[in-house]
Amino acid sequence: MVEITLNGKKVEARDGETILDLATREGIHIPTLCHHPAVEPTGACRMCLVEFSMNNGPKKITSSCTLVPEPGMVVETDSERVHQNRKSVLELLMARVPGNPELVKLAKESDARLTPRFPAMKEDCILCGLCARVCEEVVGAKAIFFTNRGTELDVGGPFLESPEDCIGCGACVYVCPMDCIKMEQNAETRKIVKWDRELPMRKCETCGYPFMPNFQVLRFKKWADMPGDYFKICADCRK
Amino acid sequence: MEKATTPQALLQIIEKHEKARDPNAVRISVCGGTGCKASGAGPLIEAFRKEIADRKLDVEVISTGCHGFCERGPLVVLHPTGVFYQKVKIKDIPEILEKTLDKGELIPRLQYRDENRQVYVKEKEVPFYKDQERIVFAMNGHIDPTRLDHYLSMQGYRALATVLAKHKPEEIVEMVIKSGLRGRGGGGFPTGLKWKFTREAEGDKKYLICNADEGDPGAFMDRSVLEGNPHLVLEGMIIGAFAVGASEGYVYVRNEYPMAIEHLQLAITQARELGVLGQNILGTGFSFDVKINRGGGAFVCGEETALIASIEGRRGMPRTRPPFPAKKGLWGKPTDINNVETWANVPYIINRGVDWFTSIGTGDVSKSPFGGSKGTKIFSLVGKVNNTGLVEVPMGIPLRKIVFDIGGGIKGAKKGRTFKAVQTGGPSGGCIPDKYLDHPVDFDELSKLGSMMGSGGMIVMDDHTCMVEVARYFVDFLKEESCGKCTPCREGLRRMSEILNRMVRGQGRTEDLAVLEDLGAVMKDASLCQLGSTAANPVLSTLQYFRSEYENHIATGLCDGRQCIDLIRYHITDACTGCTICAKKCPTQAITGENKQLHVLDQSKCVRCGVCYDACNFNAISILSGTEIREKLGE
Repeated sequence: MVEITLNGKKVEARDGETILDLATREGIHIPTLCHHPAVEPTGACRMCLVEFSMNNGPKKITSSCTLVPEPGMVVETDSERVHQNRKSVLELLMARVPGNPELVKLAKESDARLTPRFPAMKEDCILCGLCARVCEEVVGAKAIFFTNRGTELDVGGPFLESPEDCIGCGACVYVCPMDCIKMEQNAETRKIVKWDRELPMRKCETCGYPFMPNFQVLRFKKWADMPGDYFKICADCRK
Repeated sequence: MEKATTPQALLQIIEKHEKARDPNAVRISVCGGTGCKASGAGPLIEAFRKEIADRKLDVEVISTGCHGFCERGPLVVLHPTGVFYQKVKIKDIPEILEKTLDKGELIPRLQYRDENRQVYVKEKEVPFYKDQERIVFAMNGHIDPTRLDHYLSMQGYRALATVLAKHKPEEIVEMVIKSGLRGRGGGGFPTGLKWKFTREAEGDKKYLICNADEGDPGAFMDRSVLEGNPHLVLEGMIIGAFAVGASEGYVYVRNEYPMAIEHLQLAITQARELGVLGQNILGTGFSFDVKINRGGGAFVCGEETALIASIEGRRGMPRTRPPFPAKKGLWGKPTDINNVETWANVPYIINRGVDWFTSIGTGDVSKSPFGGSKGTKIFSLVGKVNNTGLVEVPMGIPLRKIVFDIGGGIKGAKKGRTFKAVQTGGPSGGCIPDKYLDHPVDFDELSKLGSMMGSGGMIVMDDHTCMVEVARYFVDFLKEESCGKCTPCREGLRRMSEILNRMVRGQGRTEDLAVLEDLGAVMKDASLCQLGSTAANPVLSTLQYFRSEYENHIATGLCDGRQCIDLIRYHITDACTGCTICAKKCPTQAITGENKQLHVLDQSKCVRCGVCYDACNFNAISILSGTEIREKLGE
């Protein structure tokens, strides 16, 4: 247990909590984009910025998702400087992904410019990396990651080609805050559109529903050392 | 080399080598640094050795590390007289041996003369060296970096022997804190405090890293230290490992530094043979070993958390601090990471003492290591100065002394070129104007001016430099070298680059300056790492000190430095004598004219390369910009 000052109030942080966790528990809203409780925080999008100081030292801005409470820490989540920086970050993101509903919502919430002062790009992704982190940390497939660097940074399979290790599980589709990773599925195949990965589906031997890509079954068997017939029927029929 | 099994035995070996070194012996030091090798020092050294063997002379030829004055290479210094020859060629060798070595006669054509044609005999008299204070570089120029006996003969490993014989780790940490030594890689954080945090951090295993990922364009001080004196860096690291309790160390060095890697690898092997590296060092039970990790050339990997990620085999992307590497570094273990030059200072602090070290530099560090900047700093002095190269100067030296005394002033001063700015601290440093030339150079003073010490890049700019173009150049460099992870750095640099590239083409808008300042503010405040938070410095500092240049680009298309090719026109004035040299040199045949007749420049063919301007001996070519173009050319 560590005691810190949060928006002028003494609060106790629990073990393993970040400032973002603590503030959320205290009912303080901090906007986030690249954060997800299932994966390690990375501090990439810079939406969850807060102002903090240690033992009355200089005040600094940092991401609350990566900030770990320490004795003597004073945190402000609502200062003018915090809001100004969040607004600037939003303006940059809105110029990159114009008209994205999630960004528009955040911009309205925080009173940021709805029309950025920069030429609009035609991107749909803010490069928060959540898809890649979930793929590595939760799924364990490590099928996609960052490629290139600087303003050329991109995310996808090796050499930006269709990722051979993608099992088509759809976890990236589910977590993407921009909703830019689309999944298309019919009775025969499932396609993760952004990665250009198309996989044939396995049908449940009981109900006939195409419940999982064949390749995912193969990998799951390998990773979890499952019996050969475990994936012959779908989860619903197994109940 | 015999193996030392106790600190006392090592001291005896050192003393034996110190005694064996005759200060009056005749030696020929030839600079074998990368700069001089590029101008032919390799074959020169071989030829010297062959000629001396053929003549059966008792003279040692030493292939030394970098002397710093690279643009005059290959450099040769004759000991013990100290006679200094520059731009030496193989065909000069017989004359040097016969005249200078044998008869003591000087060879004027090989001597250094400054821009006023004054001749200097000895190396230490040359203005480039006279005002330097060489500590880290003291042995460069005297020892062969591949010879452990040379290093031992100049007090090498004496500091380590003293430390292991007499001191506790805590005492060494305290000594380095008291010395006020601060990180030479750019951050300027007190080295002793880093050591203390690593020592006090909980962990069954601790690591030590030497950051030799020198990425600033035009900077090569770390390379020269590693190439010229690898044992000095190793000795610093071994002492550091003892102090912080580390058992394994890494040198993260650029793969583009093959000679540094070769010399370091050799030094590691020699140090193991001597018994100062590996298991049970000098029989004290303390074990430490070093591995070399070659970097792939990413600028961002100089940032410590990105560097650590790279050693771990992951993508070189920084992570947020805290936790600092001292608590959670390489493979999650407490890790101390310092720059090459920082490590190289450590043996001197032990040998000569804290009082000696704190006598050099600025401020008072007796109460806090943040109280000043102590010791020396090596700068890579480049740009529009007469003498370019590596200079080691005491902290607190005024910028003017570096630029005008050591650097010999602005190149082309006789043709009217004047000083405009000096950029310190590498790509994310700031540009400092002439009114601050008498400002002392130290960590805190440079920060106050909106620049930084960085790793020691120093680029001098003259009046023909456009500050908007300077900002554009560095922003474009950083835009490619940013890791791209966080929004302010990646998107901020993208937008700064768009605006500045527009501006140098004459398409700037009035509102651009406010937007640049807003971008600078968010990058400085909200970026994840130091690369991002300093990336706006070139823009913000030029906006602060040279705002009128930005305003002129926007308002009238005037480029004050006459550098932005879309905003200038070359124009032949009435002063033209018709000598035809410009017409002959023009690569696009844009200039026509008869002998002794006024020449004419066809603007539609001109690519604005400036060859005619440089070639003209009569100042008959002017560079027009802004309203002058309409007035003179009617465009």
